[in-house]
Amino acid sequence: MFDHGSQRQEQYHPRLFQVMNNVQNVIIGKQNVIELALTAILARGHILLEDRPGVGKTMLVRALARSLGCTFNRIQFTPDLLPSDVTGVSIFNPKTLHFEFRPGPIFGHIILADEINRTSPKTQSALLEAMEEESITVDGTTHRLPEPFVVMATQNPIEYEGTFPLPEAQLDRFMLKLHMGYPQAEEEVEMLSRIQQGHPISKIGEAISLEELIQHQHKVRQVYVHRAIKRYIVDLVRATREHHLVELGVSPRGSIALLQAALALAYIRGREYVLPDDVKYLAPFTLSHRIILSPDARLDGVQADDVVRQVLAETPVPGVDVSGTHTV
Amino acid sequence: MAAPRSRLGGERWSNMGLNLVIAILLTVLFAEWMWPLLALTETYTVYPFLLFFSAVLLVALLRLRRFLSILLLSLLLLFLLHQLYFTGPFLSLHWLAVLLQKILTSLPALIGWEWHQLAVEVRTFFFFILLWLIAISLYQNVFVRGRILFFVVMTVGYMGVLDTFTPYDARLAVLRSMVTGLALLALVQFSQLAPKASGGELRKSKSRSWMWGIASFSFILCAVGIAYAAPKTGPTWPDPVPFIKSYATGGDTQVGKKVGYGQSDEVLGGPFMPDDTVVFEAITDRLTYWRGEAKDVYTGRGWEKSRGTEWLFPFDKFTEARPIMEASFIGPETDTEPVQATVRFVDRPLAQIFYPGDPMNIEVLTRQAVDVVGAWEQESGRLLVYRSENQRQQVGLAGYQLESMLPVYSVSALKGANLSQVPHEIMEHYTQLPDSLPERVADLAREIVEGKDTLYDQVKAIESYFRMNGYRYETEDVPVPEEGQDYVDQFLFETKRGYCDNFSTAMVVMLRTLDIPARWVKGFTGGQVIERNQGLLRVEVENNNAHSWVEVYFPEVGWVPFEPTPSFQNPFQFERDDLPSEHTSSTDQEEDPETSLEEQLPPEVQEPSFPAWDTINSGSHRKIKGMLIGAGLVLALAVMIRLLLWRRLILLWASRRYRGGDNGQRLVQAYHFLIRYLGRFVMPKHPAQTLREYVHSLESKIDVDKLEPLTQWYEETLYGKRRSSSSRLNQMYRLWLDVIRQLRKK
Repeated sequence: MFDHGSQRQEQYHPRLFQVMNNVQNVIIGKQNVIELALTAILARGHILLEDRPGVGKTMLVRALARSLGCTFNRIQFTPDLLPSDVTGVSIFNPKTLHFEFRPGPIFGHIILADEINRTSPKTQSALLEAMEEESITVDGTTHRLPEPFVVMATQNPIEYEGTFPLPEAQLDRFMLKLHMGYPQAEEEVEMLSRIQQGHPISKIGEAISLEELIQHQHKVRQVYVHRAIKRYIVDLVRATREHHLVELGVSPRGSIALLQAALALAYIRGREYVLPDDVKYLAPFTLSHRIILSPDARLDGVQADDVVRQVLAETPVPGVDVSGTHTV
Repeated sequence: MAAPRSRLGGERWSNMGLNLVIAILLTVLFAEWMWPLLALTETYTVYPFLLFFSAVLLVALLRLRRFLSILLLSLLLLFLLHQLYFTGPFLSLHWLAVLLQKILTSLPALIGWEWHQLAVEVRTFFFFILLWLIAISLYQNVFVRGRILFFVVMTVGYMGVLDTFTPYDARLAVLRSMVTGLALLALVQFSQLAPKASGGELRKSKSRSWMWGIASFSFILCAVGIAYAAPKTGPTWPDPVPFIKSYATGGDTQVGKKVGYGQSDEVLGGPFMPDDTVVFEAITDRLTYWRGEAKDVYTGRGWEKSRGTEWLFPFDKFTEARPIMEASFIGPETDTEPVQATVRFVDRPLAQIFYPGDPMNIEVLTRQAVDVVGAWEQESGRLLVYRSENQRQQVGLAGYQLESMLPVYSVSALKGANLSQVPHEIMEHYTQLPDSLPERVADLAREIVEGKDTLYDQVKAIESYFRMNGYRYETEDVPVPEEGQDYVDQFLFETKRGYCDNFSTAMVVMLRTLDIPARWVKGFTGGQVIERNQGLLRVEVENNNAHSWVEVYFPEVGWVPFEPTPSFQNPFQFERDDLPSEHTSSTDQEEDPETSLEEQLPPEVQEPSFPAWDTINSGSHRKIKGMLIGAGLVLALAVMIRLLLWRRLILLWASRRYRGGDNGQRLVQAYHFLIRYLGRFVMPKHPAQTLREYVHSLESKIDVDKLEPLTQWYEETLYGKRRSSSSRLNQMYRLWLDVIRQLRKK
C-alpha cells in the first residue's frame, strides 16, 4: 500500500505500518498525510492542518486517535470561546468546601482544535502555552497534561472575516503544517462506496496500544543521526535566514523540529539512521510556516513553500560528493 | 508448451535473418569507404578486408563466447595476411615468425610516427585491427543501439568530399550508398520496432513486416527515381580544384597532351592529362622499372638519338647473341638477381619489348604465325620486333616472356669508381651538351657537388637536390619553354615544378656539365599490383606509368639508374657494403651518413619495397602520404576508442581496480566510482540531489533494480553507525559487479 515514489525502497516499521493501514481504511488515499501526522505524533510535535472544510481533517484525527488507542477531544473554536473553556475551570464544591478542578477538553491525548483562527488571541495563546509546556496552570495549581499530548489545529484559509490569524511567531509551535487537499476522483468514489456500508470509523479498532505508542516515542530518540545530517539541517535553516526574499527565517526551534521529525520519519520507515532524504522530504512541512516573507515577495505572490523548495534545490546534500573524498 | 516455444524460436531466427541482411548491407556500405583506400595496403584488392569486416559482424551476431570469437577472427586475420603477403604453407608458422619479427622491428617507426617506413605487412596488420574495431563499434551502434543514420550520413558526405576534391568519380557510389543507406535505415528501424511489439501484436507483426518492407522499398524507389529523373542544374561553382588552381595561376591552364610512352621526345614540356589506359599486364616476381630505351643527345628542347646500331637476332638465339650485343648495363663488378616476367599487351599490340634489368632470355608471342626477329639497338637498349631480317617492319606482339638479371649495386664499388677509367668513347658521347645551354646550369651543378669527392657522391648530391630546394612535382601547370629558352634552365631557375621529364633531363644535363657521362632513359614504372599470389605479382601498367629516369656510367659497374623525380623511389637495389658495422642486407641509404649529417639533410627514404602507387598521376609525396595515412589511422582509432570503447575501457578498468570489493572500504570506493561514472556518462548528479533521488532519476536511462539496494547499503554505511556483515558486503559486491556488467552491455 505504501509503495510509491522514493519510499518504495523502504521497509516500514511493521507495527507502525499497521497503524497507517488502519487509518487508511477511513481516509482513502493521503498516505503522505497519514505518515506525516504519525511522524509528528511520534516526535511529540503538534500539527497545523490548513485546509478547506470537509476534506476529512476530523476523520483523520479521529482515526489516528483510535488506531493509537488514544483519547480524542475536539474543541470547536468560536469567537466567544474563553481560555477556561479550553483548559477547564475550578469549581467550588459545596460539599467539600474546596475548589475542584474540572478539566477542559484539552485534557486528552489527541486534541482537534478546529478553526483555531476563529477565536480570540487570548484563548489561542492559552492553547499554545499548553502545547509548549505540556501542562496548564489554573488557579495556581499546575496540572500535567496526559502523555502523549498532540494538538492538531485546523485553520480555514479562505475566510478572513472575523478571524484572528495566528501570528507567525505562534505558528512556530507547530512541528508540521499539512495540507490534506481533495481526494482523487477514484478515491472519492471509493470513499462513497465505503460510506454506504456505514461509516468506516466505527469499524476500525486499536492497531497499537497507548503504552506501545509511548515506547515507540522513546525509541524514536535512539535513532542515529550523523553529524553531517545535522549540519545539513543547519545549512538549510541558515539558507532560509539568508534568503533575499525572506524577512524572518527559520528559528533554531525550527531546526530542532526538523531534526525530531526526521528521527521519527526514519523510525517509521524502519531505519536506525536518518537520511538526507528524510530531511529533504520533511523540510517543506516543517519550515515553510516558520518563514516570514519580505513585503516585496508577498506582493509578487511568492509563497514560503517556493523559498523552501529553492533552498532545497540549492543546498548540497552531505556525504555524496563523490568527486573526491566523501565529505562525511 | 511446444507451440509457443517453436514460435519464439522462429522469431529469433527470423530476427537473425533480418540481422544478416542488415550486416550484408552494412558491408556493402562500408565497401564504399574501402574502394578509394585501395592504395593503403598495396594489395589492390578490398575483398580480404571486406571479408574480414563481415566476418567480425557475423561473429558478433552469432554471439559466440568471447574467447572463441577472438580466436576465430585472429585465425582469419592471420590467414588473410598469409594469403596476401607470404608464400609457403599456412601451418608452417615460419612466416608467422617473420611477421612477428617485422612487427617488432617496426615498433620504433611506429612510436616515432614514421608510418611510411612500416613494412607493408605490418601496416596491413594494423589496418586489420582497425577494421576489427570499426566493425565492432558499428555492430554496437547498429545492432545494440539501433543507430545507423550517422553512418549513412557520413558515408554520403565522404562520397561528396571525394567527388569534389579528388579525381575519384563518386557519382555512382553516392547513388549506391544512398540506396543501401535508406534500406539500412528502414531495416534497422524495423528491427528496433519488432521487439517492442508484444502479445497480440506479435501475430500481426508478420503482415506488418510485409507492409513495412513494401512501404520502404517503394519509398526508396521513389526517392531514387525522382532524384535520377529530376533536372539537375550544373554546379553554380565550377569543380573547385581546377577552379582554385586556375584562379591561382591567372586562369591560363593549357589543355595538355596525354601521358604515355611515345617515340618522340624532341620537344619536352607542357602539361599532360592522366590516361589510365592499360598498356600491358604482367606477372612477375619483382616489381621494378620497365626499361624502354635511352636517349643521348640533348638539344635544349628535348632528346634525340644520335645513332642506332641495330643488331638483329632470332629470339631463340637471344642468349647466344647477347655477348655480341654487349648490353653493358651491368658491369663486371655488379651482382645480379634473376627476375622473370610474362607480359601481355592489353590496349593494342606493340612491337617494343619493355624489360626489367638486363634481359637474358626472351620468348615472344605473336598474334599471327609469323617469323619474327629481335632488333637490339645497342646504344639505347631499345628492343624491337621486326617481321624478318630483310623487312624492317615492326610486328605488334600479343605478349612476351622473359628472364632478366636485376642488378644489385654495391655502394662501395660505386664509391670506388673513378671518372678517369671511363672509356674515351663513352666519355665523349655521353657528355654532349648544346652550346646554347646557359652557364648558370653548370654553375648550379658545381655548387651542388662542392665538397663531394667521389663520383658517386656527386651523382647522389644532384639526384637528391630536387627533393628539397623548392622543387615540386606537378603535371598540369607546366609551361612549354619559350622560343630560345632552354628546357632545363627554365625548370631549374624559373618554374621549379614539373614531372619526371623535367627532373630526369635536368639531372642528366647537370651531370654532363660536370663531365659525368649520363643518359636519359624512358620506360614505365612498376605498375599497379592487382593481385598477389604465392609471391607472384600481377601488375597493370597504364599510360600513367610512363616514366623517365637517369642512367650514369660508372666504370666497372655499368650504367647505374638514378631517380631524381620526387615522390618516386629508385626500385633498384643498392647494397650498403661500405659501412663496416651495418647490416649488409640493408639495401637503402646510399649516402654516407657523415656527409648527410654535414649537410643537415633529412635521411632520404630509399625503400627496396615496390613503389607501386607512385604513378605519374599520383603527385603526392610518399612520405607525406604515409604520415597522413598514419595520422588518419591514429585519429580514427582515437575517435573510435573515445566514442565507443572509452566507457567500456573505464568499466573494465574499474572491475579490475575494485576487485575483491567485499572489503567495506574498497566497496565504498567502488560505489563512488560508480556514481562518478554515472554522473559523467549517463546523467550528471546535482549536488543538492540525494543519492536516492539521483538513482531514481536514472530510472529512465538505465535499469536501476540492482543499483537501488546497493545505494541503500551505501547510505547505511555512510549515515548509519552499524557495520555491514561480510556476507552482506559480499552480496553488495556482487550487485556492484552486476551493475558494472549491465553498463558494459549498454
